[in-house]
Amino acid sequence: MAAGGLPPSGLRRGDQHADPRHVERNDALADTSIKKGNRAGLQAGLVLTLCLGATFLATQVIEYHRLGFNTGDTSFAATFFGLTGLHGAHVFIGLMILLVMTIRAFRGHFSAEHHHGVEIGGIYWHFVDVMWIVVYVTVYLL
Amino acid sequence: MRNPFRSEADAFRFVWLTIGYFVLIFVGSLINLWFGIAVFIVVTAVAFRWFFRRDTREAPVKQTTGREPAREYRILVVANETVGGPELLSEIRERSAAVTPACSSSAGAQLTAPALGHPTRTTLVQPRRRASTRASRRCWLPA
Repeated sequence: MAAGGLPPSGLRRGDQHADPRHVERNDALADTSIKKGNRAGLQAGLVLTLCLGATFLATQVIEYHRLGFNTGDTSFAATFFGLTGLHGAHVFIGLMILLVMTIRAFRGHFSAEHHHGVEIGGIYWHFVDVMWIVVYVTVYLL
Repeated sequence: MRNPFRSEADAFRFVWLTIGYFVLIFVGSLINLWFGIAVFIVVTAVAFRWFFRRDTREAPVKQTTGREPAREYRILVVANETVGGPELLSEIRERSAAVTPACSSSAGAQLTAPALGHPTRTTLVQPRRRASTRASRRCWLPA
């Protein structure tokens, strides 16, 4: 692996993806809705979050395909793929959790009194979002 | 110490704080690289100061007050085999006005009814009920 320029030409500033803040706002919408007993709001928020999370992963795959450099090219490339790839793995896990939450929401498992599953899934999703803000600013902006 | 991420709302607030933190640093670095570093040091110091000086005491546990009228009585149902034990019986005698087996009347008749269709359950329940009643009588409970 060679030490290379920062960043390589394949990556442009502000290149990336669905803005994660939109994704997590919908998750907060889902949580707020079920606290008020609004099941339709919960279902809408979860489906929207699921779709935007899947869009995020899809754009990440497209970005990897178009970058023009690979993990072994430079030290930046290795760091870039390490950071964004690990985040992508966390998003994938989050999507699996969201999928289970969405199925349970449509089966009527959550209510205003009992929504612990939504609460915990939401905390994980926000953790993933905070990590993306750090990665995004470090890799794409600064 | 109170967990700062106890709820989804706490985590959501932390997301916005993180966004604000990085926006300040990014805007500072756009103006001038060294200004960006200075902003980073200042906002990090502010974050540390807030974290270590915040109120970490647990919020008092909310007590709910009973809504029932003053002359309303409460019924404790003990639904396991330990009611035959002398320690529990003496505790019940100390705290309660009257004790009665739950299967003594209509519920007991239902259990023995053939319509229930569970003869094994009936044969299991009845000896246990008789043993509990005998144990209650031994402790001079009005069973």
